[in-house]
Amino acid sequence: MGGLCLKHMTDKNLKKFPSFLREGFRKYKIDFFKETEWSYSPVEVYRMVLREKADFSKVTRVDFTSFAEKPRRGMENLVTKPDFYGVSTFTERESLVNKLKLPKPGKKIARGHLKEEYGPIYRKLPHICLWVYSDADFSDNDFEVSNYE
Amino acid sequence: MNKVYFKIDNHALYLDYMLEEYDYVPILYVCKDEEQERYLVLATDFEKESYLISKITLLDLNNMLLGKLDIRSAFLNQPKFWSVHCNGTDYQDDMVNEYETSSYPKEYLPAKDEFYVLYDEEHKEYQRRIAKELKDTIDKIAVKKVELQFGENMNFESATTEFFDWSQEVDIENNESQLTFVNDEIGLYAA
Repeated sequence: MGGLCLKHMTDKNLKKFPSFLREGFRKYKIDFFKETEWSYSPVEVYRMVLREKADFSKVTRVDFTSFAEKPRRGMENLVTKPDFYGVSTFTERESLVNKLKLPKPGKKIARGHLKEEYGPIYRKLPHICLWVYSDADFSDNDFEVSNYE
Repeated sequence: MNKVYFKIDNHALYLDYMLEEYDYVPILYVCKDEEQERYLVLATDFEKESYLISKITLLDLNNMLLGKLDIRSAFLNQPKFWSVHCNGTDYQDDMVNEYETSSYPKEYLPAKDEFYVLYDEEHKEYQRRIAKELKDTIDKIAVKKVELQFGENMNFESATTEFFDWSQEVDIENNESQLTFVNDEIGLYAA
């Protein structure tokens, strides 16, 4: 794993993250990717959100919940990877749509900007992983929710 | 010992390969049972952890990975499949229902003409592994068929020409007629 981020594991930055991330990183001695960006300009992304058919309500913190918080089958071997504790966003709508082709009732797409106040990011374009801070405030977000078809 | 993912029809299923995930949530993957039969697993609901599972032949799996068979057809080619609702991470708590393919609500299946795309080298390597396994199976079928038809001492090379053109190595990707024939034979001879 990259060396740069050991710094972040030992300083106050790790405290900014939810307990599931802190515990996972400590338990499995995980480090962030060395290319992780802690400071960055807003970047436009697309993310899948779950909504009922007629529900296009505003994006909230809940829409950026990592599945590491609610582990399920098939994820047991992934707990040692740093991005397991983050959430997925995409810089290209098409890339996300390709991921969502398989059935899932209630899937919608939110488009908006990631900001450094939400947490650090790791870019492997078109994918961007975001590790969300515990106190990330999404109330002023500019995400718009639409159908993905 | 590998972890048991599901129990279907009294067969424990183990992960063979993860084909697609989102936020590390498995969406589409392949499992194997103790008899090396393969199953295609599709997550139909992220939140409720529901899955659709069907058996899949090596030929269909290979064609699906190559983008020659759509994912929907990979399910519909089977006479039955299973709907699994998870109640936790332990398969023993699952609620499993068996369906005739014809009676299952089609909205939970992938759309028509939705093809899988091999997007990186690791996935391509899995496809090559499946293709090799398919070819090995074809070879076994041919040998058994020759033995049954001509006896064990029959010259293999000459006898198999009754069934296949073995003058060239089987082109798994491009010889549809041979593969269609082999697919019919697999149930009879691939034990």
